[in-house]
Amino acid sequence: MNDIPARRRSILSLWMTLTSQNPVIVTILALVLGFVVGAFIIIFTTATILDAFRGFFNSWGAPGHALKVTFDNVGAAYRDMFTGSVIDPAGFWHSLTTGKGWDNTLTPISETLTYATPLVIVSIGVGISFQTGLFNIGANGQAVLGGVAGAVIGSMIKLPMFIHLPLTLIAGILGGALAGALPGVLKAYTGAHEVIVTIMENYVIYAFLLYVVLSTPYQQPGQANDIGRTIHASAQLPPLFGVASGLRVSYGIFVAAGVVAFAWWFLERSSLGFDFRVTGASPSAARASGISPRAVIILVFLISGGLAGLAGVVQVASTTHYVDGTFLIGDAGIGFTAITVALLGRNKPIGILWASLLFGALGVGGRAMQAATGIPFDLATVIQSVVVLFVATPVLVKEIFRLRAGRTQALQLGTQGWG
Amino acid sequence: MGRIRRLTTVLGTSALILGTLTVSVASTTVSASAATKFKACVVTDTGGINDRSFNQSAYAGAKDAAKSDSNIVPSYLSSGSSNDYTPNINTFIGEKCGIIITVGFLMDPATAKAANAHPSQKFAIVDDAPVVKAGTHVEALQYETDQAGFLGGILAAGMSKTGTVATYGGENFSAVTLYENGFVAGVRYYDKTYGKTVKVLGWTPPKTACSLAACPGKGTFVNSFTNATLGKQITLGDYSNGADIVFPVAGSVGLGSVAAAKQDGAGHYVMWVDSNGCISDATDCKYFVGTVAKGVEPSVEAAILSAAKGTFKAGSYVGTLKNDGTGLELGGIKVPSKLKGEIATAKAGIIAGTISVNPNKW
Amino acid sequence: MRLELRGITKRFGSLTANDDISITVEPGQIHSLLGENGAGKSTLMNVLFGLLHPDEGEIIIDGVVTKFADSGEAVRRGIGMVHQHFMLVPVFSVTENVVLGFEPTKSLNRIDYKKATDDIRRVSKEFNLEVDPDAIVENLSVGIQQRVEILKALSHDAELLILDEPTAVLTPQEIDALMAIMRSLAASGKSILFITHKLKEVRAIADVITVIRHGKVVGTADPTASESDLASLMVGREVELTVQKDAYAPGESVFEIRDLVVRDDRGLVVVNGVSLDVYAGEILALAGVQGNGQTELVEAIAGMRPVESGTITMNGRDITNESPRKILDAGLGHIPEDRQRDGLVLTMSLADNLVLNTPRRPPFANHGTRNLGVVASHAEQLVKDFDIRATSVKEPASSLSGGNQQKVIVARELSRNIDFLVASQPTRGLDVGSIEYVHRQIVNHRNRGNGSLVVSSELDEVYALGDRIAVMYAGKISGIVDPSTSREDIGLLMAGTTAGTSSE
Repeated sequence: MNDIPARRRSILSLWMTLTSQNPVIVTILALVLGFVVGAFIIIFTTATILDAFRGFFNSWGAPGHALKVTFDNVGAAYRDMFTGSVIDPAGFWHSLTTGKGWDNTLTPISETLTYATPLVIVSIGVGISFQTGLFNIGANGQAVLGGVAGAVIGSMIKLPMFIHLPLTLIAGILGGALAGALPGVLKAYTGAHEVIVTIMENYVIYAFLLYVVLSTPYQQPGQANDIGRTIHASAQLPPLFGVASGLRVSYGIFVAAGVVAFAWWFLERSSLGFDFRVTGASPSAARASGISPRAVIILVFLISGGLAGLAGVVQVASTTHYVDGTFLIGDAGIGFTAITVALLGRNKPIGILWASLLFGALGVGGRAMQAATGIPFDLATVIQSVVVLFVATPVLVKEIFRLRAGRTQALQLGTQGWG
Repeated sequence: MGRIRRLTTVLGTSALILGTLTVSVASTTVSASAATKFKACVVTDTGGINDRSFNQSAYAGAKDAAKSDSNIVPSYLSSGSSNDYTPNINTFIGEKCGIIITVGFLMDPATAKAANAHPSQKFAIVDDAPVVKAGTHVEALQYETDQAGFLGGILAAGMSKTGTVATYGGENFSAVTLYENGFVAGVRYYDKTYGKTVKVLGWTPPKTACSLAACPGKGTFVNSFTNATLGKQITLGDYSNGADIVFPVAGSVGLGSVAAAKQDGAGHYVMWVDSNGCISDATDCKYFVGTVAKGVEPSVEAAILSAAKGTFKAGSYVGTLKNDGTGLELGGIKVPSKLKGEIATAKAGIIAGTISVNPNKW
Repeated sequence: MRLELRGITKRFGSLTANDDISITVEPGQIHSLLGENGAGKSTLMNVLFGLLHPDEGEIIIDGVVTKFADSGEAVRRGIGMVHQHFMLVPVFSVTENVVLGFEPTKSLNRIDYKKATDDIRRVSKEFNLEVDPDAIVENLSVGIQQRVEILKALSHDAELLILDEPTAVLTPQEIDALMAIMRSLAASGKSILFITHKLKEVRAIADVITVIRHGKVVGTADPTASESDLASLMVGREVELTVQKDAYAPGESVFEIRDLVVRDDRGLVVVNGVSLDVYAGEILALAGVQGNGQTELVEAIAGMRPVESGTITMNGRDITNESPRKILDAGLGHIPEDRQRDGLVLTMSLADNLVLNTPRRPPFANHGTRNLGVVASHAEQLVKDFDIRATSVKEPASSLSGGNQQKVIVARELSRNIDFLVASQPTRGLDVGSIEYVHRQIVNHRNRGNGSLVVSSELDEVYALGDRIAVMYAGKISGIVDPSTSREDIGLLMAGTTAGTSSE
């Protein structure tokens, strides 16, 4: 029973068996599954496809017709998702051959990068806290406070750009770090659970945001609405290709790249990062080896909050240029998306970079898909969720693709032990 | 073997789908139908497409337009926050929409920016009049809702058993507070004209007269157009303070008021806002004393049809009682004919200009 | 019951945990199964108890080939098992625990407590297992709890009892009591399979000894075989059971504890006025039954637990209530009691674990950036010097065997240029070969003229290492004696009785 099926295994499955230890493969397979599930949702929610299937057995041509309708619709949805978030091959070819329309051609990828820029920064902050075994659920509030701090500094004072822009970004970092310090200190000195404190802190910060945007110094003059002042050009991260291009991708991507590089060094190479990782993997071993849990907790929250604040201010400085009452509220709460992104990226800077780009592409592509085909944007959210679900349960993916099933079984039994 | 078959199925399916995707991406033909259709594209505010209020009404207007002209294809994108306004508008510009409807004054800066950058693109914006460059194509759709709010105030004051009515707003800006201001004026008018002493909770009018652009009084605000839980809390508070009719001017937050009326039971009502509650939220009709309606749906439809026909005019449209761009709609509980008559009198007076909707006059 | 295991083979993937094992247990026989950790003893017992199914081979009970679908069936066929970790509900009474799962019932499904209690009294009388049937289990000592487990097995009419490492948690006196019970059970015709890796006990009680190594039976022996013969059979090479030490030549006092008071996590005083001196060139062995304050004492020394009052001085420097990092930097080496919790980060690599408490010290790091090359070469060197069996210094600590994990900790601490070593239960759960190795390292440290404090609840270890032996009982030092003191007298000190007097 063991031998013959083994030989019949397809080459593909054999290849997967060889590479299944690689988490990247699992993630890619999870992505494939996400799109498969998405396809089924499209099938079951699109009237034209269902109509085509209703007549499946009515005539000889019907099955072929039903499949064609299915592939046309699903294909169109995913095509629009791709062309809306990465590049439209036709437009690309047009631009390449004529040298014209580059701005339009590059818009999708520019939008994806624009979406991913603050997301990667805040997700890395969250990832660092997760690697240390602390759950910073307050990244959104920290990002809001960072954005508010940056917006106030960016709009209320006027300085030359080479001072003003760094000052604005630093204000954002400090704002976020300040918001992070509170749960950090409470946890370190009283043991207050950081999840509870950070969740509650989010609400306090949202209320503070409304106070600021509705109060005299920062509220947009002449406005009764909850809109703040626009920051000066000297505090803005300018679009990479100039305002005229209409491409929104800004110099913020260099900030994000710097954060990725810093986080990589910090976690993989620095002594302090080593302390963080030891604390995350085994708090008791950390304490026994002389690492102060208190110092680590506070530092983690300062760094995690600081990065969240930086993400907030980068968003303000690069795209919106002002904060209003809905800043990072609701679906735009990148601090919450960051939790999923960090999970998908396995809390590693490079992984988070890819995960942010994926979420950016799905978000931007989903919008384009809805605008073009009417299939709701929420499909993108479903695909994101399915991918995360499968990544969180690699056993499921391995089972579906039959990756090293025998090995997994042995390991599970092995833990019960022949001690 | 079962597992292997399953694997083959899954892989087969995904390969087919991915294959299709690749083929579709490679093919450059644009489907012929899309080219000739006129796209009417709505960018909703954070309330979303099912807010039973102005976002829903705006999209309903687009669908109405599609019904009367089969060449029109309606489409929408929801904004999760202000951060989505610009990308949503840009996506629709990329989709070559015939007209883009943006809903709500919060979209003012994003709409103005997009219109200035794309002067030939037609826009209509609900509840706002952005300042844009000459040569752009923006129609501002605004509504003097204090006129209808005034009638709503009369209805509430006439129907109240406890002698107290209440209102609260989504956020403190004119598109919201104009309703409330008219509502308070209506109650005061009713008290003065018919010798009653009905009180209003939740809105203190400003000293100066209100306009479409500014109505800066003080009152109770949810600071949200989505947080129905808070709306319920505020309404329960109003009820316990003696009010029996509450007028929420906060989009889908008002659903929380309906929940509060359900919870507190008989004798507790809600005055609905924007679009007739007995149609948009029919199952809750018995809780509504009436609706202070805003003609978002017909005005959006008109804007789209004019754009599709080529008769679109940039500029301003102001809905009034006179042109039915705003009005009081009954439904739900029974209103005595005497009160109906008093409302009709007031309506005629407002249209004729003999009755002021400024609460300071009463 | 006559039990025969014939050609039992059990594989987990590519690993063969049991390879063609054949054993026969006669009625009334105490059959010892001796083997190192990982030799396959537990797998074999799980096969016998119906928890695992063998790939090959058969189980024959009283001449009949038998297959167990699950452990319930094994129980019904007269096999009882006393696990290493007790399977008792702490808040239930003895009676309730014994009948759990097999409750005698009256009408309406009510539990017949009277019948259950009577049964227990009868069984405990029959086999001299004194237990109060109404006592709550969590109030009982470990030794008595074990009796409850045995009682539970016997009340299900077990004819064959499997005892899995039963002495690991007992005091010497409790071990003696257990052995008396085992003998009386055997005398009444019960068969006993006694699993252990402790040579002394095997020789004291077994009728027949079967030694297994790497999943195979490597030999059988009589109880008359010498400990070193058994050890070499078990390990597969010559083993030095007691590491040779240089002559005892104590220097001046290098480590002093004065009137130390420490509380545990619940706020109870568990170290109550302890004073100790350790001299250069000696190992002070601290004996005592687990849970008498040793754990908290060591934690207080290492800076991991606040000191209520009293002082700890190392090399003349007061380290009381200093931070762990300062204490470690001052020259304390610490082999923690729970190596997997406090000593290692299991998910991190061997190399990282070998610099766990010196990550920022040059040459392992410069200006906050770790020098991974040096960390790796340092690890390679220690793997070689300390004979750590690992395929690569990059593999996670979790992939190492218990013995090799402990070697990692020992290597890290002893390579750190320390003055004084505190080792808590340094060989708990290790096999004979690893015990020998760890002991030699500690003795080498002593032979170089350093002081050490070794906390152990294993008397063998206390005798093997201690130049002097301190005994801790109920938070106090109940005596400091010479290693020539008899086991009995130390056992009495461990039970809180002063040597020479007896309370029972």
